[in-house]
Amino acid sequence: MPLFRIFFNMTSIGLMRPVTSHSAMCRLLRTSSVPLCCPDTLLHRVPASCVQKWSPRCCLRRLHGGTVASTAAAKTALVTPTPSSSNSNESTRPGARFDDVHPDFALDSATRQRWLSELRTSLTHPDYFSVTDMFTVEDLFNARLHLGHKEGSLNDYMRPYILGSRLSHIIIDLDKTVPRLHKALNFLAHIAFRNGIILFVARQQQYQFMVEEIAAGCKEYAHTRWWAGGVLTNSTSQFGCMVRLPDAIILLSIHNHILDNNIAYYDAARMRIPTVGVVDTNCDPRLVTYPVPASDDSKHSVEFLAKLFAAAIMRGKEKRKSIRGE
Amino acid sequence: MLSDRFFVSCRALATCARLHALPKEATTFKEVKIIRKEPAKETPPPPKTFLSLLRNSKFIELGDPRGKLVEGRVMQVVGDDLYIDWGGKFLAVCQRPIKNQEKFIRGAVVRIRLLDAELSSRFLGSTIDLTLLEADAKLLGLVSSPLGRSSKH
Repeated sequence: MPLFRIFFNMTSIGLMRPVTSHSAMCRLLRTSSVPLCCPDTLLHRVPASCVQKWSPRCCLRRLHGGTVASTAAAKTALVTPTPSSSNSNESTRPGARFDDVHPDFALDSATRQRWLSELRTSLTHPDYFSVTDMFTVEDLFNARLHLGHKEGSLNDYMRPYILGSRLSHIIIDLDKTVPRLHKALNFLAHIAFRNGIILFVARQQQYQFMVEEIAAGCKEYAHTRWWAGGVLTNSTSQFGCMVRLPDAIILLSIHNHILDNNIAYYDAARMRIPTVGVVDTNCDPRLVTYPVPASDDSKHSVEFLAKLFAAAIMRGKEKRKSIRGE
Repeated sequence: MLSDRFFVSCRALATCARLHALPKEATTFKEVKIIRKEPAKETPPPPKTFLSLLRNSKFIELGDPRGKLVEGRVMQVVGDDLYIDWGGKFLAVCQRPIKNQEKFIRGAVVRIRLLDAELSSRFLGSTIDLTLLEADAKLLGLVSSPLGRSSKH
């Protein structure tokens, strides 16, 4: 079934040559990426036409419900893999993440079995990366995450997350932020664990360099400049070639410099890319997959959250490295 | 009690201390009793809750920010504008004074009088407040500067 749909899409964009390799097939698909904790072995991207009625949260539930074994079996039925000759230095080459051969087949069979079983357990474990140990409420408090804007700029959809207001200054309830931050960190660690691309987006001009540095530190991507339209929705024209879109976007601010919603906020939802968003009291949290109600305006808060997300990503990557022995 | 007035040089207390292993910090017999009552603090304090942190925070202590004197640190200097971090959500932006202007650099501690913690107001025709993302304050003087000491205004 999925194979038929993929060929239909290929003919619709005018490509007639037969596709032999699995990853080449993926690259020819329209650039709608499968969100969330998609196992590394499941590389097909479900075409956008199939997921029109799915919301990002719905995708989450469906993919979590599917087992790795069934998807792996489906995948091996479609593909004839061509394992590479050398196992060493696979991950260190610059283009290693975008290789023709699936990286699982660069491992020896014992490691591959161990990796597949860890993938299975990672989804059923309540806290596979121990994100609950990463911070305390006091850390959030000292980073001034509880300070909101004034009552006059409160967004109605943020009401469930606020404690109250004192002399018209809103206080965000950090007891509600803590579980949501845990979920966001866990999600990011899982995506990094499965070699996903994560994009940091921040539009506060005073912190753009800091965010770029933090993203580079965890070897992920950042876009803190003016957002050109079509970067996600029309990427082929914008970049001049087929590109792999991010598997997760971290929005360190929902607003852009004129206090309007960031284009990334809408486009990520359009392209079914799950977002982790820091929502302040004047932001609309509805299109964010993992909203984290917190202040996004002071340097302490932006720095703290960016570093925390980077640390979660590093945990995912280190665990992947330790299991795969790369 | 008479014994309360005995000091460390008192032979009776010294003998007692040696024989009964009394705490050395005590200078009177009364202090011995007080020191002994304090239990040994070995267990770590319980993790602080958000509500307790908020209740005991400087933010609550400050109350209404209008007219309050606070000390802040200069985080950024753009031309003649000083961006001062006073511990709130937003930075206060003040004009650098002409006197001692070379001392008002990043890292200098200044005293300010807060006027507004966030400059935001509702303009005619809009449904939501427009915010400038900065605090309003009046610069009073320099407390310390990385370049050296200064006179207080």
